[in-house]
Amino acid sequence: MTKAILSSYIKKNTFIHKLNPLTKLIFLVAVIITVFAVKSFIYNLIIVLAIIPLAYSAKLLSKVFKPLRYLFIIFIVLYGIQSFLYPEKETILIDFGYGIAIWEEGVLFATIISLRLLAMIVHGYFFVLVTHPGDLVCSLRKIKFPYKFGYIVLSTLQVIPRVASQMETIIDAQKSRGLETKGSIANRLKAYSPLLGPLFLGSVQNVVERTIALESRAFSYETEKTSYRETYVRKKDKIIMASIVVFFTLYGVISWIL
Amino acid sequence: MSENVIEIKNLSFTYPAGVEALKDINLEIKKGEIVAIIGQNGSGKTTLVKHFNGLLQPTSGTVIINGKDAKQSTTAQLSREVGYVFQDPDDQLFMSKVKDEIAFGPKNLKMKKNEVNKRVRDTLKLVKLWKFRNTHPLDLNLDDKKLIAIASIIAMNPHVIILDEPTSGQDHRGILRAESLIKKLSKEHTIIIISHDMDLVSKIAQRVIVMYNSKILMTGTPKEVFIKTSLLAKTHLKPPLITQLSQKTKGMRSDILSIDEFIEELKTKKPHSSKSR
Ligand SMILES: Nc1ncnc2c1ncn2[C@@H]1O[C@H](COP(=O)(O)OP(=O)(O)O)[C@@H](O)[C@H]1O
Ligand SMILES: [Mg+2]
Repeated sequence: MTKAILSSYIKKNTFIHKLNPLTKLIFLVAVIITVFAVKSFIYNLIIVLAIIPLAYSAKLLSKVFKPLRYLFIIFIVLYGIQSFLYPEKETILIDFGYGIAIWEEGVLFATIISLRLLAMIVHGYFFVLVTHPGDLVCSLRKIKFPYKFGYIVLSTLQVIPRVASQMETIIDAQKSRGLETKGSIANRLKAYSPLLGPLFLGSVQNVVERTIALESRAFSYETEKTSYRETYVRKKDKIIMASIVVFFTLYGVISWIL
Repeated sequence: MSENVIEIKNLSFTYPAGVEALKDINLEIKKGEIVAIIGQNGSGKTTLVKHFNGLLQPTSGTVIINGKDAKQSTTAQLSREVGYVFQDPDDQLFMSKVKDEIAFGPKNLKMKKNEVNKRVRDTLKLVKLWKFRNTHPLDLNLDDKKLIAIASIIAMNPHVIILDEPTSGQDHRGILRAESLIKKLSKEHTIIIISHDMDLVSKIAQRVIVMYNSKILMTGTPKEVFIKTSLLAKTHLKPPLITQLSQKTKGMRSDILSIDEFIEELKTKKPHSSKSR
């Protein structure tokens, strides 16, 4: 059996790893709100690039861009569609004739959307890499989030690594029976198409099994629950949380003024 | 040309997560051999055989398949020569009908449609599961799922067939079915079988490889291996029950592998008692 992968969390002993999960969560939420609030492309780019020093200091620089491998196709589609079909076209960049052209507004729009996506993905993934899911749930419970909500957060965080490892297993099975998965895009698409059925069925089956496992351990029994893990909001967390709020508010305001 | 289908030299492998699963493995497997790999869970058996069809690439050392470095071929190319039946059939089966599952490999080998159909029919009849051809593979019970997983490899007719714990979790009938199938296959194929079922191993293997802590601890015929009880005990393995019994019976040989052998030996020990009856 392949090893059960429960989260993407990578244990390291760095300053960022040791922060309270809530501090990191507030940072992530601030990043997401800001990239949507800010319209200028350069301000969003800075937020995306900010991941580099962060990941470096958490010793995870080589890991943090990994999800982009699977997502490049989304960016291709995004640019493909928007550069040709964006509704408010004014300036032509490249004219192919026959009414087909690449429009500047479309390219700009695709770039802004891509940067927002990129910021959410790399910062979101970074959050998952540096936050132990159990600690996150524990600290959410401490600020009176219902524990069912905590469970939803936890299991959502587990979905991505689990699906990724299931995908790898099925691809291994297909290669072992002669399917060529290297090479042309057509080859790759052909390899991925029979994946969808088993992945979907597997997930549904997982839900059923989990429900049974949870309920047989009194998950919905109404009582005060204790926690196996313990987290604390320390002074440095409070300072950093406050700085994050102040910084991103200013950042948003400045991007609108300038 | 050597007659080795598989040659492993100084193979070491570390998983990206940092687990050193194989340490300096040297091994040769001859054409037509029936080899069993035994060892406790986590000793590296699955990791080792995944190198034989290129699913894993050595961290260091070489894997040579039919005289050619495995690095130079993709798993898909190697699948023509080496078929690997996964330990867990749920990991291996991904189509929505049994017949499509069996057809998947032959289609990738670019066989013609009627040839593919013939392979599907022949293989499903061989494993006696033709009646399930339109069933969803994952709806079958574990015994049948395991057979379908084997069948999906047989349909491609690779010379080497690797079976990763083909009888684990099965009931008696399932084990017997798997056993007779493996015996049939061994007439024309090189067989590598990973198993915890020492009875099965002693019955079918010509050579046993014992793995322990990412290394090969010893290798030899079943008789040679099962006689070394103290070494086996270190790896938490035990010889087949009948062998244990004869090892504990005074005056008995310690390399007896089957009940028939045991009875024969008994007869030579006490000729008078069998006469008096
Ligand atoms: N995908 C993987 N990632 C990391 N470690 C693994 C993986 N698969 C197996 N291992 C580890 O490698 C070692 C050998 O595993 P395996 O080859 O499956 O053993 P066996 O088949 O003999 O039970 C074990 O310690 C196991 O935990
Ligand atoms: Mg195994």
